[in-house]
Amino acid sequence: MLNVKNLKVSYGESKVIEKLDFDLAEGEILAVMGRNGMGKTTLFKSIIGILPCGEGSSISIEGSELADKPSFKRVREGLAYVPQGRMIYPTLSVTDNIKVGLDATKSKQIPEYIYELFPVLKEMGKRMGGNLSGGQQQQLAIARALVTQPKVLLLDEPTEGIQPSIIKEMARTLKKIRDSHGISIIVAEQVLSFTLEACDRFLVMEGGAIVHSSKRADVDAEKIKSFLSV
Amino acid sequence: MEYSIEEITSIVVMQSFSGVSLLCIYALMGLGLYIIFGQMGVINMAHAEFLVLGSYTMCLFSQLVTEHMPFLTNYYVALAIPLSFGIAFGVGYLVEWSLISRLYKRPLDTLLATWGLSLIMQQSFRTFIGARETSATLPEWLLGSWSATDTIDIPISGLVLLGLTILLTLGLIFYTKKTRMGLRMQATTQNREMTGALGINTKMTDRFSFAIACGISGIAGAFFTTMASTSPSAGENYIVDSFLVLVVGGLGSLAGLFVSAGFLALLSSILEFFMTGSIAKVILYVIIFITLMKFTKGIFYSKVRS
Repeated sequence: MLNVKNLKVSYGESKVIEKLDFDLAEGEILAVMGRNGMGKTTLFKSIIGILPCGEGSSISIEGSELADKPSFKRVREGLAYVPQGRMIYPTLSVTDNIKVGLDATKSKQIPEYIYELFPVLKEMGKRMGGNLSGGQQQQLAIARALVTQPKVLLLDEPTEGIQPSIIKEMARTLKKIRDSHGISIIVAEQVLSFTLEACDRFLVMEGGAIVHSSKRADVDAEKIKSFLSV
Repeated sequence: MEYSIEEITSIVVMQSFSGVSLLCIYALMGLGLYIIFGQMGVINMAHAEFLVLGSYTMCLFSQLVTEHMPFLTNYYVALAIPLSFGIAFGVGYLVEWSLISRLYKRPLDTLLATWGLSLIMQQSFRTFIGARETSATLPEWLLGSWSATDTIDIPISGLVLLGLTILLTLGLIFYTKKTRMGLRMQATTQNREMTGALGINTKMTDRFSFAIACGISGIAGAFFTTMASTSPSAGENYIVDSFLVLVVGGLGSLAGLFVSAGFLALLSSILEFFMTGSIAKVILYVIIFITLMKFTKGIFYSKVRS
């Protein structure tokens, strides 16, 4: 579904990601784990096109090359992004926040399944995005990404600032999104319990490179934990 | 001298109407800037030159009609207003593409660049149109007045100004709140990167929004020729008031723009009744300064969690 090959990303002279390769299969939920500053957000930003990638980098979705395309074209090819900190539009209503995502499609109506997944968004449709709680904002950010009709959903630290009881519910929601809509998902995370609940495969990043990879069947939680501890 | 109740009522009504006209002028000055500064966050020092561009379009079109198409004299205003919009829109589109698009997130550079643009536009008006003041030949019907009663006369130009302001404002509300382009504009101005990552072409959105705002200023400028003549540096009369109206109301708030326009119109009228224009202006600025100390982000600033 998504292929990343020889990805290089720099901030000026400082190389943050150097020759990174990985694939994402159709319907797979992949965890990209690592401590702060290891390159997870940079990886996501370069995949979605917010950060430019270096020469020779390749990012493709179903064989279509994206590396030289701007963000909005990548979204139209099937990528969707939920950033760390949600970045919802604070002075737009909940409904309008979702409609911004809808703009990438030809549809004018917010699909009913969005409200089935996140009923609170229907109740709070007229409330300003900036006045929602952290958990509600997270749901809004995911809903806004889902209405773009993605093939691949990138979720950057979705559990950040969310209470533990909602984290389990969020893992179930991700599986529901994958199962009902066939969307492949990549989650950048530091909360191992969440990824163990939701993900099929685990990558660990350190210093901008992948240092560990395992499938759910043979995951070594202790080893991943060792990478996450300071 | 003693006035009858009827006469006092007439004076109050006519004075109120001239206050409403002043409110409309302030609001029209601020409408284009509401998008460019209030929504897009671009400090456009050349905003007033787009008003002047609209004024010149009206004046030149009026000359053209008077000299070559006299049969259109009574109707040309209806054609000149969309033409002013079109020309200001086109110039705005080019300016965004060539200059502004390179300066987002660099407010100080934008300030300097648009100030330079204002000088270039002023000099262009001087070179290609002329340095002398010019005005439009207005159709007869616009110069007359409507007698509401025997003692109340309302100028037709004031009524048209009021109608135009209402029309433009409703159009702008519809555009920002009810159209996809309006939603794109609001989203882009709140978070450009995130909006691109939701599938919206933010460069085109910026360009179109800037051009629309310039077009609105063009319409405002065109109508200002019904009240005053124009000259290459006429923008200097508009620029400070345009920013004041917006800042006092609260950036990004259309309701704030109108409250602020009303506030400034009321203050100007009262102060200028009791003192000279320049002293009234000084006192007006002092009052605005105190208001902004109390409401640092404007009277109608929306508070949200993030």
